[in-house]
Amino acid sequence: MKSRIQRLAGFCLVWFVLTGTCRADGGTVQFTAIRQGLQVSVFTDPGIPSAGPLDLSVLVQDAATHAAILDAEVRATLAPETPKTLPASAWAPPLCAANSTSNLQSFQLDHRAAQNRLYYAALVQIPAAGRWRLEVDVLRRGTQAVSIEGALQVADQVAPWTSYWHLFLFPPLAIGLFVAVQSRRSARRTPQGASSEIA
Amino acid sequence: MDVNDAIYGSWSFRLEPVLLLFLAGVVYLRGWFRVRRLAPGRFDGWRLCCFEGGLFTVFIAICSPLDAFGSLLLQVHMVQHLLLMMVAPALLLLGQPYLPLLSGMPRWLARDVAGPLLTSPWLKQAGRRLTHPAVCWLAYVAATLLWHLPPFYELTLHSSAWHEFEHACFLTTALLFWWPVIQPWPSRPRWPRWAMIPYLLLADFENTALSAFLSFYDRVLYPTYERVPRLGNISAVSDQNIAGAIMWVPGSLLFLIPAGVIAWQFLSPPRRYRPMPVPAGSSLSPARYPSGPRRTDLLRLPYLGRVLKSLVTRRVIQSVLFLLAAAIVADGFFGPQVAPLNLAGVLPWIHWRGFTVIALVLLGNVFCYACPFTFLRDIGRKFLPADRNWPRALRSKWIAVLLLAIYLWAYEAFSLWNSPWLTAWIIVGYFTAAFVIDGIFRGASFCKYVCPIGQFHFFQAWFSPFEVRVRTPDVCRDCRSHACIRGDKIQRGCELRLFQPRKQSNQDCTFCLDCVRACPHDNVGVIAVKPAAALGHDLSTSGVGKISRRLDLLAIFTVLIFGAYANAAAMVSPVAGFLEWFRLSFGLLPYPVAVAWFYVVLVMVLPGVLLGACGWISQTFGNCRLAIKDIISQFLVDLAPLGAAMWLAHFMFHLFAASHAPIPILQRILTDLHWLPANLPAWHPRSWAFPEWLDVEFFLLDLGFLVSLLGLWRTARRLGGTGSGAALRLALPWMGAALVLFAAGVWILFQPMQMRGLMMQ
Repeated sequence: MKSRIQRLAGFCLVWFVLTGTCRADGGTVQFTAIRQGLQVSVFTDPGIPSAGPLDLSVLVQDAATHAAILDAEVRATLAPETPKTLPASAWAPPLCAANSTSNLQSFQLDHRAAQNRLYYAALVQIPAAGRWRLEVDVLRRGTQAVSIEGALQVADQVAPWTSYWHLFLFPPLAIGLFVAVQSRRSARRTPQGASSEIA
Repeated sequence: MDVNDAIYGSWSFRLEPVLLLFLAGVVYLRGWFRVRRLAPGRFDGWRLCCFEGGLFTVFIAICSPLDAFGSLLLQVHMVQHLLLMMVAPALLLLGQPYLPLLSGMPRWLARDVAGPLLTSPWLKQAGRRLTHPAVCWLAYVAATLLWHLPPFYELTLHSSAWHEFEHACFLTTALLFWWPVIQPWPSRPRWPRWAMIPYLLLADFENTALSAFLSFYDRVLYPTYERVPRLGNISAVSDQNIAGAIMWVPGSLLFLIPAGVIAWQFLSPPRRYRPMPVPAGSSLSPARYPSGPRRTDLLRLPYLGRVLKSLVTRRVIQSVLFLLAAAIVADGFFGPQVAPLNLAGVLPWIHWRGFTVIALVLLGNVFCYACPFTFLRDIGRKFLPADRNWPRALRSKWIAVLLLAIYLWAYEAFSLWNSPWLTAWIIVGYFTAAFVIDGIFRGASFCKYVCPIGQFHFFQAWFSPFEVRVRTPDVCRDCRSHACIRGDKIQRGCELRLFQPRKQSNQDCTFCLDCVRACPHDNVGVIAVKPAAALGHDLSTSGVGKISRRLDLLAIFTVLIFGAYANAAAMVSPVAGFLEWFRLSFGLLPYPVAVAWFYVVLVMVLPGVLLGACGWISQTFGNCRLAIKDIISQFLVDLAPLGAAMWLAHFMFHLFAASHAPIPILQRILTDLHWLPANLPAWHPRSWAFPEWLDVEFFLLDLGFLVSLLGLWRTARRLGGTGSGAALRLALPWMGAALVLFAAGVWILFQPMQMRGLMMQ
């Protein structure tokens, strides 16, 4: 009795701990540049960006010592190189849209949104495939702003269901399990040699 | 934030694996407590520590900063793999998990699913083959070698899905590898014990070869590590060499230590076998586990039980909700008429609905227990007569059906969620109706016959894990007072006319606990039940009768099952676009009329066609002698889990998307009252939203679908006799209908949805 309530309370606790906000997650290096003594590396996850939600992360380091710099302000701008890519609107998991950045003109990246807290990160919503220009500005108190630019080749969005196919395996598996258990039980109920006795 | 804080703060929580680990830990703990009573020597605290430690090691490997830094440093990645391949599996198996896990499962799961499966010959055969030492060794060595080949390793560095698959491979093959070495009870060794020494040494040979290559190779094996920015001043080659050393030294030790222990045991003089002391009357056969525990009774919990049972607790909670309702009404009338800026636009539509459905799934009909409307009614009864009987002609749920249908239509037609003013009026109207009806008529006529919210909760409470029911039926057999329904001089009995000994579900139960307080034998509790257990049995329950014979209740079920889908569909873009097109196609039809058509089609016409077709097919091809309407009334209730799942997914979606929305509204109100300095509230607060939410929604829908199928199968077996073929012919069309609803739900969940309750739409 007591353990059931404890389990329930534990479940609720874990549930609320788990339900954090959308987090960027490092990923693959897209480009790196060294400017004014700073090494700035840009990562995306997925490694080959596609239209829809994209984790964008930036690591700022001292170019000489490779020590991570954590007190900078990092902003980024994403713009399509070909204007025709703008009108489309890619699919995003519905609730994810609540915490993702849809204003790509200028958005801030911070440590809170990153899994690896050395990174500055943001979850952005790329509306369409095509070639996009990414500009990252790093500002540190008392120093000149550093700006680096690079291109992102954004692929067409993959069909949403392809990311969720594993969830649809659950019903057939459960049905298969049910059928297996039922046939095992009915086999157990039918005594061996019963048919010959009837005959 | 300094670098150390950043490194140690780089934890991640991924929903599915963490939930799985947590559940495994809880199930093992529960089972361990049970089996320890029977075999304390075999299941001591050390076993518990090992198993929970193994789970914790997996958690550390996949959620700690090791995971975050694994893509930057190969040495960190190597530590992560060592934990998954050497430490976690060995600890898990040392916990001798078979019996504790089996005993820790819910009884029905162990008895009906795990038991038959584990005793099936083909599974035993497969298990025997899979745990053969040669197979285990080969699987482990092959997995280690293959995944360390550059093309495969690179694949995992670029794809999180492959990375997770790699980890699953490592953990699974390592569990197999350590199986013959640890030989968890009750498995039996296939090879002599001494054979484990070459088994381990040969695996160490492969490990040494691989790690030596990594340690001494002077070029970067995995190009990704050359491209990522270096942390500190470690070059990619040095990083690779250190990774090799980690794999070599600690990795080899983890093979050599057990090999040494086994050699020591082999060379030591044999100990005389002493059987474990087993308490009399117990058996260690898995079939005898678990011994049946008493059902959980919330009212028997220490302290909490007494608090829950007390009327004062209910009144306090009701008065708090009453004050909250008053605040919502005041803000709805006098606050800004923009939903996300107003308590009336957020609390009733987002939080109240969301928390209510969660409470229904975790506990039971908590809302009716805390209902503020009946709170005012109970105060009013001090002054009002409440001495008339509810008219006989109206003793059904038809008024509630009508009100539910009107609510569903008005919600969309007048965007109730977007109008604080209308919301305030609805709340006032509700209070007035409850006050007037129950001030004139006896009992809880409002709750039983009128309240549409109550009907929604009764419907959803079919799937709650707790039920107000008698503790010991024998006690009721001897009872002559029937105080649970009649009451006594001090305490009223059940106002919804539910007689506890004959009550078999949560239908019509408001969880008011009057029956609990009235029972002179203290024989009514809030007792754990299997959710949806009544489904498919067409039980007759007190105060309700058989649902299949109650047309009004079946109408409520229809509205709530199909209404769940219509209500959710109305907030997705393609349907909103279709409604707009429909309006324009018919000469700018007024929006409420278009919505009325929408609901008539989705909640009346389509269900009518679908249910009628299923009934006809069942009758024709299932050789069923029942009339079509009787077949429909038998099967319809079984579709309820799909409706309940959709309501749950829908309301929780809004709750998670707008979880923090009341904070800026409170800031605004406090600023208006001059209790806070006039700062602009943060209108874009964070929320509990997370990318995997869609997974949770699909899981809920999957669960609803499966429970529906189970109910349909039970009903078909009941109507079609014991033959599986006849039952299947009866059930198949209904299973098809369930599949249609499930597919509709999947389609709705995939669509872009309105972010109601937020400043964004």
